[in-house]
Amino acid sequence: MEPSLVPDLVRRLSMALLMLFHLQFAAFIIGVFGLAVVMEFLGLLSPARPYFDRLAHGLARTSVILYSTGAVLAIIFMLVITLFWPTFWYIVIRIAFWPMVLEAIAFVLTILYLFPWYYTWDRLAGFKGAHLAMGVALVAVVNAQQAMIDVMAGYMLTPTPPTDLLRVFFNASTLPLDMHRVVGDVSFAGFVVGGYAALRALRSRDEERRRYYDWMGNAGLIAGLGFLFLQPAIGLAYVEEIRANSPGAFTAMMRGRLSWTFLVQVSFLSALFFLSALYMALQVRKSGERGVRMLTVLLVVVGLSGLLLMQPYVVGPSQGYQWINGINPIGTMQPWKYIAFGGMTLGALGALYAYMGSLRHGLRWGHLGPAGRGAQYILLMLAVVGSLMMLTMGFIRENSRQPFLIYYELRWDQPESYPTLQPTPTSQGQGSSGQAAR
Amino acid sequence: MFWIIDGIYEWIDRRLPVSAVLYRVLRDPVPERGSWWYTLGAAIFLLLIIQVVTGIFLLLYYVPSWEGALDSIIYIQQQVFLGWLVRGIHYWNMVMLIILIGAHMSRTFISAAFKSPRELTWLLGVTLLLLMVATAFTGSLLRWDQSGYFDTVVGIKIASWTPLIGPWLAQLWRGSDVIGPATLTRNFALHVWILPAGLLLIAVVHIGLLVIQGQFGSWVNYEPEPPGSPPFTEDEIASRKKLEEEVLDPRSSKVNLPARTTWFYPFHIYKEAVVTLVLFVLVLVTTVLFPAPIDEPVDPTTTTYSPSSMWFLLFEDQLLLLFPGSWLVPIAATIAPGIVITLLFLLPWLERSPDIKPSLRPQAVAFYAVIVGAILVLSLLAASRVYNYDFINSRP
Ligand code: HEM
Repeated sequence: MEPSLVPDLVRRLSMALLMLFHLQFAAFIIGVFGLAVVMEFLGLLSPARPYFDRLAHGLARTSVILYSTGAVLAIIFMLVITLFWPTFWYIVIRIAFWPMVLEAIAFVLTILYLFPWYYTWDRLAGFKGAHLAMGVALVAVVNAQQAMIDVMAGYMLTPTPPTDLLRVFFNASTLPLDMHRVVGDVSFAGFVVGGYAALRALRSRDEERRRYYDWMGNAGLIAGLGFLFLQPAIGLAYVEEIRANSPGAFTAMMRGRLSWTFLVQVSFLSALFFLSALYMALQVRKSGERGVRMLTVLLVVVGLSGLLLMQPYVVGPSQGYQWINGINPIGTMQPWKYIAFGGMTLGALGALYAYMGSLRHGLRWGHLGPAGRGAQYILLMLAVVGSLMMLTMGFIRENSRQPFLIYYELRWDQPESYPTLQPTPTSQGQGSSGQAAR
Repeated sequence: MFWIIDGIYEWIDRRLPVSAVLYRVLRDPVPERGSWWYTLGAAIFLLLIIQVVTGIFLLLYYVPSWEGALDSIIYIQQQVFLGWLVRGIHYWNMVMLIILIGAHMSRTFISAAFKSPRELTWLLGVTLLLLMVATAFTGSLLRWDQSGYFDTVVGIKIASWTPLIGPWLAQLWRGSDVIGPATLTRNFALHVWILPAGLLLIAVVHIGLLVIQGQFGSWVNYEPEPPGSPPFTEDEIASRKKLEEEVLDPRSSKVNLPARTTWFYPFHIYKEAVVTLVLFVLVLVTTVLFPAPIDEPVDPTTTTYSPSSMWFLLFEDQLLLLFPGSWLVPIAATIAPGIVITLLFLLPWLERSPDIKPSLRPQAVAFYAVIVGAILVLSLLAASRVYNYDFINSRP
């Protein structure tokens, strides 16, 4: 046990809560940077330029305000980890020294880019190209920062020999995790932006504002849903890496003590797809456009696929499902969950396609009849579910490697039993071989 | 001296309409704005010729047999004068070609250059893409080393999952029940003559169509001139006048009138030459820095070799991982790629609106972006996985 006067539960809980909280901020902010740049770019192409510009500028303002909160949380995190988990922190710094240095550089660059990017918004209005380039640079550095953190987070779950720097950087789960985050950040930000817009749309008395916020909710949803499509495939690839490289963690996640969380997660995912499809159907109905029937059929496909996806595999005998030894025949991964994933994503993709078709003919924004109000409530729900889903994923990843902090290498409750990973004065600069510990 | 050449030329020209053809092709009016983007097709064609030439040189030494293939490759690489260079160019040029064809396809897609009347150009283009991939793929077996061998093992396995005709297709490709000398012979025939002949022939028709119908360019060529544009030069006025006449001529197949045009020769051909040269120098530099790969000799009984796919098919490798088990594997193996290829072929009929600006056709552009994004993401994931393979294998 690490020497500490603080009880274990407090040490673990404080880290968990702090990180989950920080993650929500960080993911949202990184996603919002990306969204702002994309919206500014779309504004250049679209006839609805004033709306895109207004949205991009609003997003930038939000990200500037929130950025400091996220950064403060990260700094508190550094303090707490140094205080509560000194040995672990020391080991991580030794293994991931270079990723951390790069991360720090990227952090400084982010701050250097962020403020000029925001404050030159109006001044560079005539030079959109230059301003966009600044935005792209900002997105690049902030994502680089995230990628460096993913090196460490990936390493903790699928470690490699720490002496080989290249392997530390490109350990098996760095890339899947990073992609999952890059895509997930934008998707999450899109849903949250949609939820915020819905709140404003519902509360606006002013016709023009309501029109804008109605449109903004739709933009958030398209971003959220559009990026969500990639997530199941990337997530699956991520899990496959864990299966191949850290089989114990895979078993815990998918078959063992955490398998219930998978069901929770796919339920949230199903809800995201279903609610998105419902939103689009409602919006089209509100405007009296063609295509409602098509959207309704696809909604049913998405809904049924979602229900299929949520099926548990083992249904305990004690719950009265004794029909087939407590095993649910449609709860298996193959082929049922695949069919469900396929039906859900293809159905939602079709719905998005049909919806974008209606957008081209021009949906009417701002008139909140019953269907219009319904659509706004759906957006709110989407924001909440998106946020819950982020929490679930963080929880799963951190818990799957328990009792290890670094898989195979370092247990949280007995770091002294891994002598090769301990900081010793003699192994300067050499790093320590994880292989030897086994 | 020149009068001799002139004389020969005149003699030929009186019998073959060389001047007329050259005038038709070289003095063609082409869209002016954005024309750097329109150099990719020509670069592909010229690099394709280089591919044929280096291929012919390789054929002088290559032995297409089970016993001799790998040795002859090693001989070319190590003994033959400049053999390493020719082989390296042939290898890296293939890489460049596949990237360029992808870029050229994306440019014509975003420009909506496939729309009426250029559907046929697009169809032949998709065929060229498939032929190019097939040529590169069959080439890898010719090395007759582990990586080429297992590429083919996996490729034939994938083909065998084609619904209905799978087993027959696999048998046809293998030439026997197992991969053996017959497979090498068949791949050799495909790689050195059947596929390249198809490539060149179709490429010529593809470009011929372009000359007949005129280059479309992209939407920027049909917008009003941006303020502050320089005044028209004499060449621009002349070329535009010629184009106007051609478009008005009822016998002509040319239909579009870009705002600003220029002569193909010497203006556009100059840009094409520059781009091709830069790309070829890139190929040369890569060749010098990174020798073309040669793997271990073929050993079908190995238990330690981890095969990985060729780089341009890594996305397929990842798809196979995502759809495991006998129920699902046909989805990854043939159904999903088949659907994408079919959509590509049908594109001109699926997207029939006359809009050309990307912002006016968001559905199509978004769909294309999703497919390209998926291919990139899947490829990167596969690359990361393959990179970590040997480490997994060394795990206790
Ligand atoms: C061996 C492969 C290929 C060769 C040698 C080739 C060659 C060319 C050339 C020289 C041009 C005119 C210049 C330019 O626009 O770049 C062209 C135009 C075109 N290519 Fe290709 N191409 C190939 C593959 C493809 C592919 C894969 C596609 C799409 C699937 C495609 C579709 C088109 C279209 C639609 C045009 C007309 C562009 C316009 O009129 O503006 N080509 N090709």
